[in-house]
Amino acid sequence: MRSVVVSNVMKAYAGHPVLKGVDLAVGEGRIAALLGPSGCGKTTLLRLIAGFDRVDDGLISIDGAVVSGEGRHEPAERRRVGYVPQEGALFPHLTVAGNVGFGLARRDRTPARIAEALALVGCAALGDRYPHQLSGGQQQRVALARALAPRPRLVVLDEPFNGLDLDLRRAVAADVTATLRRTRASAILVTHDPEEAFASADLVAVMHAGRIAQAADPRTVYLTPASPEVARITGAAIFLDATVSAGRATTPLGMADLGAVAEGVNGRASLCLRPEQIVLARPDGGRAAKVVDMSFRGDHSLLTVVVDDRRLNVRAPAAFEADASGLVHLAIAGPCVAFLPS
Amino acid sequence: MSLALSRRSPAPPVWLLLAAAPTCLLIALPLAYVALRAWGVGAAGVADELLRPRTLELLVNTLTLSLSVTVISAILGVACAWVVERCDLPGRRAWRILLALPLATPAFVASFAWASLDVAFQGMGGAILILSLSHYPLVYLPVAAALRSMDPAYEDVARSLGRGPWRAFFGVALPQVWPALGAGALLALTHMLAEFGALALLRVQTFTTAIFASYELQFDSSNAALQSAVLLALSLPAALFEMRLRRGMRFSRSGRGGRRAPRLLALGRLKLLVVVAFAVLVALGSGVPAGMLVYWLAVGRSAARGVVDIWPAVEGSLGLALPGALIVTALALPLVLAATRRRSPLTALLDRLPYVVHGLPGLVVALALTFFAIRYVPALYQTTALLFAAYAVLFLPLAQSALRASVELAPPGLEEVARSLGKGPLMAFATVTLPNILPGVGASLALMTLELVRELTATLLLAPIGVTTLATEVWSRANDGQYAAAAPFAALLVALSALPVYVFTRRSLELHDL
Repeated sequence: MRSVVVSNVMKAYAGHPVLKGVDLAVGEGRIAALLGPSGCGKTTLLRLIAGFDRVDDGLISIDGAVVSGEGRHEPAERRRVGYVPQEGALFPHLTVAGNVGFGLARRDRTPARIAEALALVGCAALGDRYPHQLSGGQQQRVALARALAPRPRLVVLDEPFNGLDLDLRRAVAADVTATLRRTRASAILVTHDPEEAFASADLVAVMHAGRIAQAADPRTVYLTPASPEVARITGAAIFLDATVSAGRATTPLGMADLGAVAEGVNGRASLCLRPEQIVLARPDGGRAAKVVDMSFRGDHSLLTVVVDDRRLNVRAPAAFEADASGLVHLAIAGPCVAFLPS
Repeated sequence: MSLALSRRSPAPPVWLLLAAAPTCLLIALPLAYVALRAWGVGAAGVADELLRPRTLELLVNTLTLSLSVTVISAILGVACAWVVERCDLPGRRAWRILLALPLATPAFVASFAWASLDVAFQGMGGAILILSLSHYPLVYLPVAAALRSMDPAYEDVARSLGRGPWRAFFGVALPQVWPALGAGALLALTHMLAEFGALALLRVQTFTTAIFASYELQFDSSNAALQSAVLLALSLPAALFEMRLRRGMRFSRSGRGGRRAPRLLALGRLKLLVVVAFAVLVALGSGVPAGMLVYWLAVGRSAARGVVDIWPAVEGSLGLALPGALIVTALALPLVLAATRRRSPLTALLDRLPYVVHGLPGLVVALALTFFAIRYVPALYQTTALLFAAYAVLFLPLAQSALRASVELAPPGLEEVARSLGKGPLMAFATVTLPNILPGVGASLALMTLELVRELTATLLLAPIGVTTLATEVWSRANDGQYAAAAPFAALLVALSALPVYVFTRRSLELHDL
C-alpha cells in the first residue's frame, strides 16, 4: 500500500519550469525527506501534494485516489493532508487549545481530544497559552499537534525547524520524528539539512533542478550517491582524479574500493568520497602527505594536508601531534563512487 | 522584536515631557471649554438643555448616521479588500487605486455634487449613501494592507485542516485583520461624529449642524457647549474602544523565512458580477462627483463666474496648509517617540489623548479656541496662530499614526548603539533616529498638507477675516446653491488631493510588502 504517489508532475511559475517531471512514492506510515538546495522545487512539490497549488501535468494520488491531475484538483480542505509550515504559523488570535481544535469537527472538538493531541507532542500543559507566549520549539510542537489532531492521511512539513537554534533544532526534530512514528502517520518533510533528513526519514528524496535525482534510504543516498550533485547535496564530498580498472580505483591517495560505478565510466574517472573516508595510515600502508596546518576542534583535530598540489582536510584524533618530518600517511577507507571525469 | 517593544523604562526624560507639554495644553482646551461652560450654566441648566426633545432628535440622527455609515463602510471596505487581495480579479492593480479614489474627494465636495444632481439626495438616506461611498476607503485601505502583510501560511493551514476558502477567511484571516478593520471603522465613526460641511449641505440635522446653528445665532452659546459635551460623550467610547483594540494587537508574523505570494481564489462565474459591482461602486463613489464637477465647470465657464477668486483661495489654502503640516508633524513626533520608546502610563496617556479629542468636531475646537482667545489672549483672536492651534488639536492623531509605523520600525537598539558610541540623547536622535524615520516624517507632512487643504470647519470659523481657501469658497458658494460658482474651487481641491491620495494609497499598500 502506497500512501502518496507522485508521478511525472510538472509545474511552472510565470513560464519558468520549477518541477520538470517528479516521481515519488511514500509508503504508508513512512517518513520521507525532500532534501535539496533552496530553489530546487521541494516546497513547490509539497504545496502541490497539500493541494494549495494545481499541477500543470502529471498525477498525485493519496491512498490510491487521484487528488491532482487528469483534470481533477481536490481542494486542500478535502485532502486531509496536515500541513506544518515554516515558523509554525500558529493562529495568533487563538490559544494553543484553540489552534489544536481548529481542524476538528465541532463534535470532536472536545477538551479530551485536544489534550490528547497536545500530549502527543508533550505540550499538555500549554493549552491556555497564546502562541506569542511559547518558545520557538513549543510553537513547532503545537503546530504539529494541530496538524495531527484531525488524524490526517498524510502530514507535510515545510522546513519546520528553520527558525530554531541549532541545538534546539536537533531536539525538536527528534521529538517530531518520534511523534510521527508513534502515531504511524505518513509524512513528508522538506529540508535542506542532510543531517536532519538522515536522522528523521526512512526515504530521502534528493531534489535537484526540478527533478528527484535520487530517492532511497538514507544510507544508500549517502554512501552511493547517484550523481555528483547528490553527493554534494547530501554532505561534504571530495572528488579525486582516479583511474578505474578491475573493480578498483587508483588515486593520488592510493587504491580505493568501489561501491558503485556510474554508467560509461571506463579508465579515467572522478572518484567521490566522504571526508571521513580519508584516514591516517601506517607509513608502510599509505601515501605520504605534508601537513600544512592543524586546527584543534575538541573531539578531533583537523589537518590540512597537501598531496600532489591538492589541499585536503583530514580528521585526526584530538591528541594528534605531527612528528618532526611534518608528514602523515593517508589511505582511503571504505567503498567510493566513480563518476565520469568532469 | 516584541521583547524590545514591550520593554519599559521608569520615567520619560525631561526633554520629552517639555516637548509634549504644549500639545497636552492644546488638547485640554476644548475639554476645559466644555466643562467651564457647563459649570457656568449650572446643573439645572444642563439638565434642562439635555432633556429637551430636540436633543433626543439630534442624538437619534447623529447615531443613525454615524453607525449606518460605519457599518456600511466596514462591510464595503472588507469585501473590496478581500476580493482585491485574495481573488483572481482582472486588473487588480487598477482596482486597488480606483477603489481608494473617493479619498481624493472631500465629503463636502461629494455632497455638493450629489445634492446638485438631485435634491432627493438631501436628507438622511442620501447622507448615508454619499458618506458611506466616501468613507469606505478608510476601512478598505488598512484591511487590504493587513491582508497583504499577513502570512498566507495561516490560510493554507486552515485549508489543510478542512476549512473551505470562505471559512478560512472568517476563521483565520478576518480575526487577524480585525485590528486594521476596527481601527478603520473607528476612524470612519469619528469622522462621522465630527462631520459638518457635508451634513450642512445635505440638510441633515445632527449635533454638528445644530452647534453651528446655535453659534450663528449667538456667539457665546451655552447650547453649543452643551451639545459639544454630548458629542464628546459619544466619541469617548469610540476612542476607548480603539485603545483596547490597539493593546490587543499582536505581531501576526514573527518569522524570518521568506513569504510567498498568496494563492488567488478563482472567482469563476462570479467574475463578471464582481467586476460589474466594482465598476458601479467606482462610478458612484468617484464617477458621480467627478461628473457633476465637470458638468458645473462647463456651465460655470459659460457664465464666467468665480474664476477671478481662485488665486487668492489657492494662496490661502497653501499658506495655511504648508506651515500647518510642519507644525502638526513637529508636535506629533515627541508624542510618538515618547509612546514607543519610553513606555509608561503617562506616555501612553499622552499618546492616546489626541485620539479622544479627535472625536470632537472641528467646530467645537474652533469654538473653544475662540472662547479662550477672546477672554484671555485677545491679541491672538483673528490670527493664523489660533487656526494652527486648532489644526494641531484636530490632526495630531493622523500625524501620529503616519509617524508611528516608521518610528516602530527603527529599532531602539540603534539609539542604544549610538549612545554607547558616545552620543548624547539628542545627538543620537538627530544622527540615528531621525534619518531612519524620515520616510515617516515625509509621509506625515504630505498627509497633513492634503488634510489641511481639505479642512473646512475650523478654517471657516478661525481664518482671519479676508483669508479664503478653496474649501471655504466651495462651502459658502455651494451652501447658497451656487453650484456652478463652487465647481472650479472644488475641482481644484480634488485635483490637489488626488496626487497625494494616489501616492499615499500606493505607499500604504506597498510598504507592507516588505
